[in-house]
Amino acid sequence: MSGPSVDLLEAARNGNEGAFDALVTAMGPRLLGYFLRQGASHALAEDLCQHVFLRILQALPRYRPSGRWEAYCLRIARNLWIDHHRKRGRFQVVQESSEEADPGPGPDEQLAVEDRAAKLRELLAKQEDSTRELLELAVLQQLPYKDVSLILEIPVGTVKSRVYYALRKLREQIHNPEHFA
Amino acid sequence: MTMEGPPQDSHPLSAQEQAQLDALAKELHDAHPEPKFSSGWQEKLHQRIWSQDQHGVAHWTLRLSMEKNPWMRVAASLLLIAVVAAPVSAVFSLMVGPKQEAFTLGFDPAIPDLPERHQESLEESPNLGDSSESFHGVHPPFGEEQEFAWSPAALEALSRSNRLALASQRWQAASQRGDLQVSLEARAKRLLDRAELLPDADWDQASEQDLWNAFLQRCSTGSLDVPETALFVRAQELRQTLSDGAPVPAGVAAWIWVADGTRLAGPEQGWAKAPFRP
Repeated sequence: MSGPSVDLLEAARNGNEGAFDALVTAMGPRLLGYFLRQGASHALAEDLCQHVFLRILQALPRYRPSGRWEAYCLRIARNLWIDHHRKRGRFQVVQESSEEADPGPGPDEQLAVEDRAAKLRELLAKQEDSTRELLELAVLQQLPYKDVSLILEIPVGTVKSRVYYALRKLREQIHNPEHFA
Repeated sequence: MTMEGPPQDSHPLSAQEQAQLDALAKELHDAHPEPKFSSGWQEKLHQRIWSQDQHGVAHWTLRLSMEKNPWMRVAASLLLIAVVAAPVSAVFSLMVGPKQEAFTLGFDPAIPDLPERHQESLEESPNLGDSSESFHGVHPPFGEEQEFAWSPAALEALSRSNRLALASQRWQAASQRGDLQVSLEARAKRLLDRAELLPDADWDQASEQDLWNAFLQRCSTGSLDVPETALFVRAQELRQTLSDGAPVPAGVAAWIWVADGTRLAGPEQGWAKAPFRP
């Protein structure tokens, strides 16, 4: 496994508050970014992050450090997000996502004033949910394809091909924004 | 950032395109810096976790306590078994239990293989309606296939046979007495020697003494077959020849008694020499 050391996890499992705080500090921002990019508001993302760590704390006695720690945390986060999605309804989530990804002025003006990074964030926010989630795990969270396939429950080869085509599509959208407007 | 490679079923990526996609992935990653929590978020989480843990009652949940405490799991398992066992066992017994056979009323013993002691007690029970005592061991003069053919004539013949059997029994009892045994046996022997008094004899001309001798012969030999009708007819004829008030001879009285069971009126002097009274 990677991420925090086994000793740190063992200390957290035994109730060491400092060890658990270290885990929160290391993984918290990544989880927050995950929820934000999935379309959650900042307050909702923070609340969901707390739920993730509460679940991790409850599951720590059963946790076996056989896999990647980040993938374990992100799987819990994804399950929480899906549960939240079901409870609140897709319409509201999409609305929140639109608010977060709202570029403000029209695309032409936006392209003129924003840098390339902003354009990438905008394009990523406009992707389909499945594509955005795939790029989130494979590119932004930098999880190995094997872990991505376990989280999304699809074959590794499918992950590879989808990431490839998603990046190509993103590249084309950057070069020809009018075509995809 | 380097991507793991193109899919195998697509066109092979040129090095230039691979580099472009790797650069785009890195650019995409860099375009999303890790966000920061609002101030106080981590303290809030810290308080939420550890303060609740210190107040275990508020934090207590069944699921959490079962995860932590193996005795809770054992108790929950026992409780579940206790709740489920009763209906499950009831359904199971209905499905595979022995079927109870309907009890059929009848006159045969319900348990045919009773021990011998119980069989004896059953045979001795007065409730079984055994009529052997009243008939003194006499069987009806009918075959088994005619057991229920109780026509009036058959019942009458049966009554006669029974009365003759009763007379025979009393004769046998009287013959056991020492003072009568020798004379009765000697008389019976003489009667047996007389062929004309056998059952196939001609009774139309028989005297009163012949009837009496025939009666004693039947009693002594235990011949309980229904006597010939001619014998009863002769007994009635002899009775009708008697004057009113005259004593009825023993031979006539005996066969009339066997025939219809009625006691004769009057002093019945004829019975005086009989070893028994009907």
